[in-house]
Amino acid sequence: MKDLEQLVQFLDGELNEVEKQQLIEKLKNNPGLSEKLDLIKDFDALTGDKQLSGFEDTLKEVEVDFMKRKQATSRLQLKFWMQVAAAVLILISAATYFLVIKEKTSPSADSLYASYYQKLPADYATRSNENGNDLFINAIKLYNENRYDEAISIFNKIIQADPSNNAARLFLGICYTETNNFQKASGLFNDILIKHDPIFEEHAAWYLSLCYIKTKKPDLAKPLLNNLVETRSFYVGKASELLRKLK
Amino acid sequence: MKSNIYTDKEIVEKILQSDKKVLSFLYEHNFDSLKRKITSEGGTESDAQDIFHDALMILFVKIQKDGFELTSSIHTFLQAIARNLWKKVLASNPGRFKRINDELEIISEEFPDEEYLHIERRKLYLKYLSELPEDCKRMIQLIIKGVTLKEITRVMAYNSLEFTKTKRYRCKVMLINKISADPLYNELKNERSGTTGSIPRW
Repeated sequence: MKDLEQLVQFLDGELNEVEKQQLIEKLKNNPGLSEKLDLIKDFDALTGDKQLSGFEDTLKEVEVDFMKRKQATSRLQLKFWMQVAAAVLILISAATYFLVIKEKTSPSADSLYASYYQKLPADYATRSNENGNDLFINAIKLYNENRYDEAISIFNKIIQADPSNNAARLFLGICYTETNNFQKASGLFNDILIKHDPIFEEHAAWYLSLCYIKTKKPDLAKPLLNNLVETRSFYVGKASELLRKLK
Repeated sequence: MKSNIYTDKEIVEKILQSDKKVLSFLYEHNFDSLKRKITSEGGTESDAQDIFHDALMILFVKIQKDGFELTSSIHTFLQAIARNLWKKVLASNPGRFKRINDELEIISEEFPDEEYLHIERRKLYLKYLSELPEDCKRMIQLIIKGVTLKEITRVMAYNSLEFTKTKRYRCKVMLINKISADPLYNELKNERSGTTGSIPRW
């Protein structure tokens, strides 16, 4: 019989006295066999510790519960952050949409101005001011040739000489809009409105509203445009369009 | 939720009673910081679970010993055990993990200690026990639980007590041969300070 088998049988109480004594002698002289005995004893001590086994069983249960709780928490956190991310995405999309739509439905002041501004044709003015004034005709000629600085100079002289000349005032105002001097232009158009000149009033109102739009004061433009619509003026179509775009 | 609802003394007492609430409390209080450390050094959450499990087992064995005294808070003590275990894993797997700093070299002088070797040998024994053929595994588990041979003969539906005895000794020889052939056993055995217990149960 092999030594290990005999050792196991000894520990199981299966050896007779003679065999026991032989084995004890072998253990004294055989370190390898003695180590096997130590191993069996150690195995028994460690695996047979019921308190430790009980602790490990409980520990495994606690560990499983803990990890489940953690996973559930992680899922909740993930869900929360996904909701936050979704909300942010919606906000960004909404903001982008709003800006794009706003841009489409409410064009910028510059684009509105560019769409609606047209230089007042001078033949109309000429017909309205056929008073034999050579200086005025000369100014209109310069105006038609887009020589605004020279035209401005002459229109100013005309107004100085005749402050009631709203035709000159209107074209001077348009010269200023053409040279991007909207403040001066606005002042001139306002003067015409204050004077309630029925011939030039609606032109002044239209060009003044455009000046306000260009200078980003649409709230000042709206009442002027409303008035142009209500009075069925020459600019009724354009004024109502512009009003819709300003809303 | 982290709160100091137990004193260290209570925790020690309740660990010995395998109190679930206290064990949960220890997980809540310590696991995340350990996991952060381990995953920052190339380990996984699963590594952290294994390390923390073993650390608690070692803590239990330490507490079981007569004259156990805490020299720091229970959490610091537990973290120290876990960190030493992790350093041991890092040191024995140099290629697998990131080498963060020289901390790897500084494993506590008392480590590996008797309780660590205790748990490691137990793990090794249980590993080989689980790898035995099903009938052998079941028989040895019953013997460990103190079930008599007569009862085992009945439970295992063997024909006779003699057959059960023969089966028992064959299974034991197989198990002992497998364990003693493992180099890890020899490593752990050489570090072991001594054996305990008298004549084994089986």
